[in-house]
Order: sequence, then structure tokens, then C-alpha cells
Amino acid sequence: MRCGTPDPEERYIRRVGRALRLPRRQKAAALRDLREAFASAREHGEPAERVVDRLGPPKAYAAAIDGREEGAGTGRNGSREKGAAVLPALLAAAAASCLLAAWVLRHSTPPADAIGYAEQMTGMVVTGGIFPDARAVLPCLGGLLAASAGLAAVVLLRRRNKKPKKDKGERE
Amino acid sequence: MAQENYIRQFKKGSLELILLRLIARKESYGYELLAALNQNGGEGFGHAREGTVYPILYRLEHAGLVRCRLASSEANGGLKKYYSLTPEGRKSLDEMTAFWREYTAYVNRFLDGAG
Repeated sequence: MRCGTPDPEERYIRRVGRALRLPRRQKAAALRDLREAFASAREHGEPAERVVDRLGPPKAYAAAIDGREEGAGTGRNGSREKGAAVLPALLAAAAASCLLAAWVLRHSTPPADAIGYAEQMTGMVVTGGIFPDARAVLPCLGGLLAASAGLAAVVLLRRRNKKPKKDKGERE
Repeated sequence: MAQENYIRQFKKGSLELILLRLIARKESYGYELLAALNQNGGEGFGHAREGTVYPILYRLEHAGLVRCRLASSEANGGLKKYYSLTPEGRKSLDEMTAFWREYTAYVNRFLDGAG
């Protein structure tokens, strides 16, 4: 029964859990292993404080487990990095689609034998529709998406170039 | 300071090889491996810690070099994770052992004054 102030074991596990950057299932497995480390030590008559001391700072332990210790882009963070790299590409693809659609709308002409086709521009203006004019909206949307793609790419590059910071001995 | 870092990295690298060797000998759980390390090589390696050993085990498991089996443990009232070698782990162990022997022989040639 644990109530009030958590014991060193629970406190340590909670802090590692907060610091771990892993998918939920992997995180649960890593925390299970950690509980086993405490339980095994207890089985051999060792107090939790001694295990905490041997495990080192929670953040450093979490970084060693999830691979951040080895530097960005390696270890188990690789899949997360790849995921982050996909975002600018997706945004750029969406921007290109919007701009292409806008170009097609602007330059497409109906076939010459189409019913109701007029040689010259009509003076009629349709107003009051609930949907905005796609020819006006698409270029704006494309521009916005392109800007977002650029921004996401810059953030990604800056994050990659940034050297991983060493955990400065958070002894808790 | 740089020397300390060098020694730490060196120990970490060789610890992976030693852990694979210990697991190859006998299916073991974390604390058991830790105890084996401290009984057999504590004076040379320094006291092995959970903070060093568990991340390596996690890495070996993730790389597919070891497989795990959870077994209930009456002694600690929970489960124990037993590690054993996969075929890939066996292959890696053989390669790493061969490399280690060759490499240390090469370095020793220089240290013994042959170079």
C-alpha cells in the first residue's frame, strides 16, 4: 500500500516514465524491466535507495534506454526522426497539389462544341454562394501550405544540426 | 578527463560482448547478469550498475540479438525477464569475439614494443 509521499522506487520509475521518449508499448516494457530491477534487488535484501543510486539520474537512464544518448537520428529515436521528416514532404506535396489545381482551373477552357459555350466572356457574376471561389482560394491555400512546408523543413534541419545535450547529472 | 571518457566508452563497448557471452552460457535475468559481472570482473571493470547493464540489454533485445521470456517469480512476487541468445546474437558474438582477439593481439604487439 503506497499512499502520501511516493517511495524512492515509485518516484524514480515515475520520473523515468516522464522522460522516456518511446511508443506506449515500448515504454511500458521498459518500465516493467525497471520494476523488475527493484524487485530483484529487494529479493537480495538491497534497499531501493541503493538501486536508485546505481541506476543513475532518471533522465540519463531514460536517454540510455530510448537511444538519445547515442545522438540524434540513431537508436530507437530513428523512427520518430523519420516521422518528423515526412511532415515537410507531406505539406510540400499538398501545396503543389493546390497550386496545380489552381493553375488547371485558371487555364482550362470548355470544349468548343460544349452546350452553352460562349466565344466571349460573359458579364454575369454569380454571387451569394456559400462556397468560396476555388480559383481564389486554391492559390492562397497552396501558398500557405508551401510556407508551412518551408517552416517545417527549417525546424527539422535546425533540430538535426543541434547537438544532443548531455544530462547534467540530475541526481534526484 | 578525456582519458576517463575514453576508458568509459571502452568499457561500455566490451560490456556488450561480455553480456552476450554470459547470456550464451546460460539463460539469465538482469540481476543475475549484474551479479555475474560483479563476481567475475568487478575489480577490472568497476562495479557494474543497473544503469549501465539494463540499457545494453534493452539495446541487444531491440537489435534482435537476444530474445526474452517472462517467467513468474515467487521470490520477488512478480515476473522475471530471462534473456537468451538468438541465432543472430550467436553470430554477432562469434564475430565480436574474433574481432576482439585479433584487435587486442594487434594492439598488444605495439604495446609490447614490436612496432
